[in-house]
Amino acid sequence: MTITQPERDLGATVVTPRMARLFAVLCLGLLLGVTVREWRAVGLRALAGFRIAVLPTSDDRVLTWMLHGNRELLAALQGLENTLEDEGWLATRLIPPAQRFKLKRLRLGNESVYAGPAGWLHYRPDVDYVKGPGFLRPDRLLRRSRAAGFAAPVQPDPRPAILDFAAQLRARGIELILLPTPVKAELTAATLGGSATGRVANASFLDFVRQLEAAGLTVLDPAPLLTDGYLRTDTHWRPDAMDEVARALAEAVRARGITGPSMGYERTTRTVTGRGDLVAMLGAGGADIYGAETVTVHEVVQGSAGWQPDREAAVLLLGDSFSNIYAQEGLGWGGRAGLAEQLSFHLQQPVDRLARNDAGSYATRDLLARELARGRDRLAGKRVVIWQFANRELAQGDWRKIPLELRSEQPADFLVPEPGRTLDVRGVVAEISSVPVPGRVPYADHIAALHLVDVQGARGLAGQAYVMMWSMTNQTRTGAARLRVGDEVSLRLRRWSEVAAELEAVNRSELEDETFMLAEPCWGEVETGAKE
Amino acid sequence: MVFSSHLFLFYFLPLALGLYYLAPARARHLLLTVLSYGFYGWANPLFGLLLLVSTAIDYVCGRALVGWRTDPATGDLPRLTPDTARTRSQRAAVTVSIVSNLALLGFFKYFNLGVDTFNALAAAFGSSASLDLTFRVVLPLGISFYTFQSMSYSIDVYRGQAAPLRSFVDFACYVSLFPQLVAGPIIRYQELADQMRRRSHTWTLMARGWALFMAGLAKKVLLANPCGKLADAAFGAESLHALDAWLGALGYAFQIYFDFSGYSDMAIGLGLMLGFHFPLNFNAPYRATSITDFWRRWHISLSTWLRDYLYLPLGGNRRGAARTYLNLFIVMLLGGLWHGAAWNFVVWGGLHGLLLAAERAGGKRALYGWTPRPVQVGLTFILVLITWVFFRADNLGHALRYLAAMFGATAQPAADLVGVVTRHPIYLAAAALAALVVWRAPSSAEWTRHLNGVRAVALLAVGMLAVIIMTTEEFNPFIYFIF
Repeated sequence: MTITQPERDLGATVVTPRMARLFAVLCLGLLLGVTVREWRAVGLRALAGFRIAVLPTSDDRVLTWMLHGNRELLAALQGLENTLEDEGWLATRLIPPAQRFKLKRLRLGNESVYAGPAGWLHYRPDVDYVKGPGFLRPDRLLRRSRAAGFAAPVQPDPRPAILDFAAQLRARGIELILLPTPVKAELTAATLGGSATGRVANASFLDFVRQLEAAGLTVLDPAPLLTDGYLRTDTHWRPDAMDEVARALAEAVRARGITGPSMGYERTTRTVTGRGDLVAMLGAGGADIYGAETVTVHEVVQGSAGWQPDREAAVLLLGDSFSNIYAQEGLGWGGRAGLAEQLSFHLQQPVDRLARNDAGSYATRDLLARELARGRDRLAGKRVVIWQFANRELAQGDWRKIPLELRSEQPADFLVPEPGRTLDVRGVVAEISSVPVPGRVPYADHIAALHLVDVQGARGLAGQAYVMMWSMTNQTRTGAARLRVGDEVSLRLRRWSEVAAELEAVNRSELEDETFMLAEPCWGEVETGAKE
Repeated sequence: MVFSSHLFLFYFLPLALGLYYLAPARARHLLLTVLSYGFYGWANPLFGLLLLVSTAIDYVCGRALVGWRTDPATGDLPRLTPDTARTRSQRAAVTVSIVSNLALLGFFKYFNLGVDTFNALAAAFGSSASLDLTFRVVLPLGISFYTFQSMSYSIDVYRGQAAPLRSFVDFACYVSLFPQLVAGPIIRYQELADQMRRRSHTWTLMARGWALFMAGLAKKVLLANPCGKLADAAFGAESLHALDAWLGALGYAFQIYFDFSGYSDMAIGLGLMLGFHFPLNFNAPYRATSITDFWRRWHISLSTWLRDYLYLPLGGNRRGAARTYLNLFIVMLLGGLWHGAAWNFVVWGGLHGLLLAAERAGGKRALYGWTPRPVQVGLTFILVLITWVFFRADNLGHALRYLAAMFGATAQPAADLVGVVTRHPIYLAAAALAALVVWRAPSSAEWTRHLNGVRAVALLAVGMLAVIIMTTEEFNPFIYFIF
């Protein structure tokens, strides 16, 4: 056989037959050894559970069916690959010690966290926002607006969405106060190990504020109040710094003539010791190296009852995790001491609140829109809406315009349990909203939305249901997170409104179809004894 | 699916090797084809359909070139003789192959650029005409590679440099071979024709294959990825110090080299495991003494493809000096466009074309060719480094701003947030190690040629270290997957 050019270029291998065989067998043996362990740890289970179901679409064209099926297949393959990687034998054995080594010896964080000196941690997207290109740069906006692969494109420019929201509120006689909240890296850059004094804003931020103010909006930039105002190992501000912001907000609200007889709110002081969300994101080793922090929070009470949002209030706060950090016990820093509570205390007036822990660019507007779509006019009686979001959203968020339409009709045949009762049903998953990857998001809990079809209940009940379920708790995926289109599941449902007070602020993803905006959601838990 | 992933290493590869060696010889090409389509379709099943359609068109064209009758004695298709005139139908067949491949590449790769450019020009001239298209065309993985590979088949058969494949399965196997499908090397059909018919499988080849695979994996995970962090930090900044800008550019130069050469090593290694000899793709490119020399050492399979299928048909250097310079410029311009549908890639290619033309005018020597060799190597590297800025930047404007930062001509940042990464000891150490490997270490091919006990242990050690680090890191695709 003639020797080809590639063979000549590679050159004849100089190795003894024994060494060649030994080396090759060793490599193959190592590969096989790990492969067998991988298959036993997760491979067989994951492959056995792998299935793709393509449910009929309303459009019966072949091309649509192909594209729809292709998307479902891609999602299933990606889910399978994630499971094999995250739960494999190697990953579960290597990742914890590797993380400890990187942190302790190399002072390297991970994909989500920068480890600065003197025990300071920073959320990587925050740093990327601060040092990155101006978020209003035309080329940056164009790049972000392009869909990446098959992902849905985002609306990168915050200005149209904010101005549109303000106009919709103005049409109802409501004023918008914007509260863009600086991320930690903006005001504590020196704690990253770099050299900086004062604020380090994204290149487009000041121009952004100027443009909105020129358009008649009120922008309350709390940066001057937040110097030295952040937790060391958490993404968020300290309670005392947040209180200063609440005080400033109260003054701004009072200046708009929103006053009334005092509601008698009082504060009780409590010391809370917690571990920052960034420590959780560091994974193994984080808790060994980064100790807990202690803060003093002020819980707001009214008489003997704890503070609650009031839907009849003249002020509505739309906020993200900065608003929630001391309000939601699940975040680990106490409860009933958040931004809305402090605002309420300083105003001595009730405040309504819609908060979600992430996606401040659209999540709370979306929540508000869904409330209105389901016939609950959350804007009735409101005179001021305060919209708080983390500044990183300006560069990374999806700033879609969201219409606020008050509707009254309900879609037919969406099952909703009777008030105060539960309903046991069995159904097929037709669609499930996106689920975050544990360790890569700055929150520990997440709720996903499912569309169930072919729902069967007792006494001949049938139809479909829009169900919210835990998809992640304490940075661990639940069984619901592994559900795929086509899976059959048995659930115990109750009305969402019965758990909303406790769960509304938890970060969640919803399904985008307009039908679901109208549907009354249920809260679902896997029925005891049923397969999860 | 990427080579440096859990899924490939511990699920796909063992399955592929196991089935390949258990299968009877006559079923191996079919098996490889099925495995390759599975490998490719993992990224998007629809891409597999596109690959199949492209393969079918080129197979039919190949058959049409030589007719449909096989040699009764051998069962093979006849080979065209190089000096016989071609018929009209033969010219039509090769034209169909070339046009269909270029049309596929043109549509999927350049449609979006065409729309954007039209809109930009319309806006620049104050026209209200614009193409307001809501959809963007998604680029299929590896299309730049397999279209060029398929074209080489038709052209080689047309030129009489190789006999066509009778079996569609064999041809589909050649086009879709998973080791080289998504990022090369671009394997010319004439290089693989004989191997499709006969190849050997020995312990020596298996050992060499594993050695190259592990060397490539180590290059990717231990060198390319950390250097890439330097580049990402610098190129992702609005403003930066000159030092950070240079560190970022250096990081990218190392990242792209170790990423791509690492992938090529892994591809060649996998090929050897399956009995195939793929061409080398790199030959210590950063030791080049001129840009001309650089292009003999970098992405060799592409540069030789461009030379043989574009530069020489354009006339090469046979039509006078001016035409030679023009040909060089055109080839590099198109080479830049091949890499990416954006004007910064065109500028990158154009710069290299200008440099090549200038060196050709100087007798295929660099303008600094009179300096000592280390100086020539250093200056060539700096020139290449500067052109890489156009390659890495998001767009032309970004590239120009970055270059300005490299030369201290931009406003300094208020805070040293980029330095948090670029001056972290770990990343600096990785860059230093990368530099050592680039300028002092032998190439992977040379180093694995002599496999003794010490080298075997060293390869196992770096391979396992790479697997450990790979397991603990996030998704890290190869840079050239996007081309």
